[in-house]
Amino acid sequence: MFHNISIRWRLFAFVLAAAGIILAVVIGYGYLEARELLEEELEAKAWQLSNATANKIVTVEKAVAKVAGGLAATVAVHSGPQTDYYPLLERLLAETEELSGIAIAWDPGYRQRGGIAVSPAVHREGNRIERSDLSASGANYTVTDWYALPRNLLRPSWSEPYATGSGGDSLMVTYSVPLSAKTGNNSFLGVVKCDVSLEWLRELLMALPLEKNGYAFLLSRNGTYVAHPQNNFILKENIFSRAEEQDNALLRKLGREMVKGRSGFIRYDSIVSDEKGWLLYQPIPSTGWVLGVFFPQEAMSAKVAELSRKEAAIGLLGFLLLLPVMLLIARSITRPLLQLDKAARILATGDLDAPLPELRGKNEVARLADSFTTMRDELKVHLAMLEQTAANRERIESELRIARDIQMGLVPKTFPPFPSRRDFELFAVMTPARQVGGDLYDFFMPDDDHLCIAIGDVSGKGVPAALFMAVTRTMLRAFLHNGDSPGEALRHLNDDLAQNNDYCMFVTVFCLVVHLPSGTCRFANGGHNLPCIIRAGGDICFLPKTQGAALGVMEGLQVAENEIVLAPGDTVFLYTDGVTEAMNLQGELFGDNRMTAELSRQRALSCTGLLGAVTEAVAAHADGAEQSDDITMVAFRYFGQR
Amino acid sequence: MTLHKTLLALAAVLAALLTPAPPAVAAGKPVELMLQWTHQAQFAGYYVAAAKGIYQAHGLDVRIIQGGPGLDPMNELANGDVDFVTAWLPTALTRRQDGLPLVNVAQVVNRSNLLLIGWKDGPGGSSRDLSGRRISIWEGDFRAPYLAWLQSEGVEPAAIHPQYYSVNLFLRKGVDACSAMYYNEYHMLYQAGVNEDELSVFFLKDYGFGFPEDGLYCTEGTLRLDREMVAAFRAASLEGWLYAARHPEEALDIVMEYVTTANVATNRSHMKWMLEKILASIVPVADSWTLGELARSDYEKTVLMMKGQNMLHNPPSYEAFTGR
Repeated sequence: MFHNISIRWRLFAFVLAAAGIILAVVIGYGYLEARELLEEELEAKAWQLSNATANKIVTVEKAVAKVAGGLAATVAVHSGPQTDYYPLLERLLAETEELSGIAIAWDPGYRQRGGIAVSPAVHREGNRIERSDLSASGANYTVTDWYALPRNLLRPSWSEPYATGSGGDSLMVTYSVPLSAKTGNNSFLGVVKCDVSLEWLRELLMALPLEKNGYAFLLSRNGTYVAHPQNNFILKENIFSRAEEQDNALLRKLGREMVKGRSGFIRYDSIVSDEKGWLLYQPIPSTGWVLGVFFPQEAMSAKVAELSRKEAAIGLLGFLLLLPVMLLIARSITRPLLQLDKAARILATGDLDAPLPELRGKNEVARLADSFTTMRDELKVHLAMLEQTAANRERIESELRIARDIQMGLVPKTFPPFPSRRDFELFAVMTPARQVGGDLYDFFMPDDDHLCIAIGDVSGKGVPAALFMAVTRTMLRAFLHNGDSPGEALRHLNDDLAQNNDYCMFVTVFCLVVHLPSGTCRFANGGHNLPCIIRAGGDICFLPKTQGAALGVMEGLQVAENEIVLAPGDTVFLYTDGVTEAMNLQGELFGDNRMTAELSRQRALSCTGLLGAVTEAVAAHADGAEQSDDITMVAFRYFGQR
Repeated sequence: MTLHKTLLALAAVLAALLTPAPPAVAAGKPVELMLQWTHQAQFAGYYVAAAKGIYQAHGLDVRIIQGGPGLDPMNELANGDVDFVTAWLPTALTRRQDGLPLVNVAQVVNRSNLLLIGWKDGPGGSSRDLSGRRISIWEGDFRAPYLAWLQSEGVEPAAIHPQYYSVNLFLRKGVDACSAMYYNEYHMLYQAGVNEDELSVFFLKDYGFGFPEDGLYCTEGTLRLDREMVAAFRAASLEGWLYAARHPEEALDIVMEYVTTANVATNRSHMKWMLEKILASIVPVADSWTLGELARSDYEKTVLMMKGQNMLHNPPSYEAFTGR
């Protein structure tokens, strides 16, 4: 399909397509790379942020633990029914801004045994510090976690966060330390407890520099939400209750990882907004809480997208710049081609003198143009030569035509030649080769009783052969008219031809004179093929050999004469070597055997039919091969007196 | 008791403000029901009866007041501040022994939900493995069935810690096993990330120590005064439970309204679990028990168990206790 599109547009399209693909690959790779880098960066940042936040929480908790631990140590040493702990508690509360209340809750048994009246407690009320007595309130504090946990675990504990205040919207957590006496069986004295308001915690998490839709949350060690952007989750929902509500086994698994104190940075879909992103979670070691921070993917994707957009814009700009450049390059290549094309079309019309485009440089197109010029010049020379050759051939051909005309004009072509004669039949054919060979035949009746027949073959070809043949025929006729016997006529002919024969041409001639009343034939042979005689009975043989050679070579040649008697029905067949030496494509000659066999087979035919049959046999043998020699045959059949 | 009264008054006012308003045409007999704990699905049937106008259809205008830590509904009943309370059968028996003339109006929960749960990597799967372990058990009347069961199983724990409202002591491995309600604490553990396969769970009822639990109670005085009203309240409450059993999702919605308004620290999936399990122990399957009826045999079995634990010396007759 591309073959129908011009080179210019193909070049243009392919280069731009390749550039476009490279551009897309580069941008795509850049996108992935940037995303990976940003992800790594995000994770590093996330850990930083999360660690810092966790540290802040731990710092507060450590401060609280220090106060509680110090107080517990003091109480254990100084405990006694008369000790008034209120001033100490007030001082501690005033000094520790993280605390919202401190109390010493005596074990009920110890109170009874030691006669202790009050369980001193202080808490903030606005800017003031208020005193109260836990034992006086009537509520049984031993049932609360903050008492029961250290009581039974015998170690400091953080309670689960709980709600206080009139609306239940103030979040508190209590750190309590068991008080133990140094001695005795009933060593448990009670609990020192420190209340910590968690308002600051919510503020801390809210103030984290997170992207839009990012959020932080805090889970208690039971998985309950202590802080979460969704306020109605706090203290009510729990990572496991969310998992149960959503039938989300993965979330439950994650929750278990979290409360077991593991940390991680994972892909995560926000349970608040269904947004995709990452979740970082890590434990707060002191309380066993879990800090989680969600980083939405969109914020990061936006950064990556921005980066990719810029890359794409630069790429596109380059691409647009590439367009005209490509067009120019494509044009610079195809314009000379188009010029050459135009010039070639003009050349094709034969106008070899039309100007060819001149191209500078040595590039491929310039070389093509050079080749064009060379070709045109060569073509001119060649055409000129061709014209010359054609003229020469024309001349030669016309000479040949003349030669053939001479040759054909010299032999009698009217058949039957003697319509009035009933005592014999005569027929002759001559098929000239393309190059005139110089065959001849002739027959005439010098008187009523005699018939002269001659057949000959001049050496050489063309006009000289034709002329030589003309001379031979004229002279032979003249000698026979003079009453020469065949032998004399051939001797005289030889002598005359030999004189002034500068070209050393020669001719073979067979001459036959028939005495018609008697059937006696006298003949002489000047180097020609011996004719065949087909007897009326069917026998076929060549005429007997007589002395003689080709004529015109040297004077004084002896030519012998012989004689046969023809019976009525006998046929004499004369021919030139064009018959026996007719060649097929394989180089096989027609030969004497094929010729005599054909004559024997067709002997019943008339002379005309006989020659036609032999002609066909020769043509069939040649099978289309062009013959270099004339094919000439004469058939004479003697009928006797009737 | 002054603080109790104040708290009660406060709770009543809050409940009045927070309870979904009954239909405007309500002109029934004003009745107050106090629950033995904060609002939760454990009391779904009463909420449903109120919200769906079932009480109203029985000519009652019922106000539901939640209990909670530090509140004792029996005291309110004794003072005549409320007409009905929900209470545990052992609690009702001991309080009647202490002189409060309680009458069992309906025995709502007839199947036991009591469990003892241990860490699987602690006590293991057999009750005998609990010997030598630290166990926490609720204080008061809840203690009796557990002690009776431990006795009968020949378990001698290393220590029995008092257990209160939370399972945190168990979660922090302060004890090896703790008491739990199937409909509540068991699922609270699940919602603290503990998987079922990490726990060994003993259903007391599987060992023949299942006793009826929540029931509706009024005083003999109330019953004498308005037997018709008591019957209507009983019928409407049970109808409420049946409605909840037939429409659990709607019942859950109603529960969540109460829970949300009262700002109880719980969540829908927990309430859903609780509703399912409590319904299964209220609504009888085949002829396991009769809805709302305290069967004489169950009564006698409970009395026997409590006597055995020295918690009951002078039990009332079945007829007197059920007001027949």
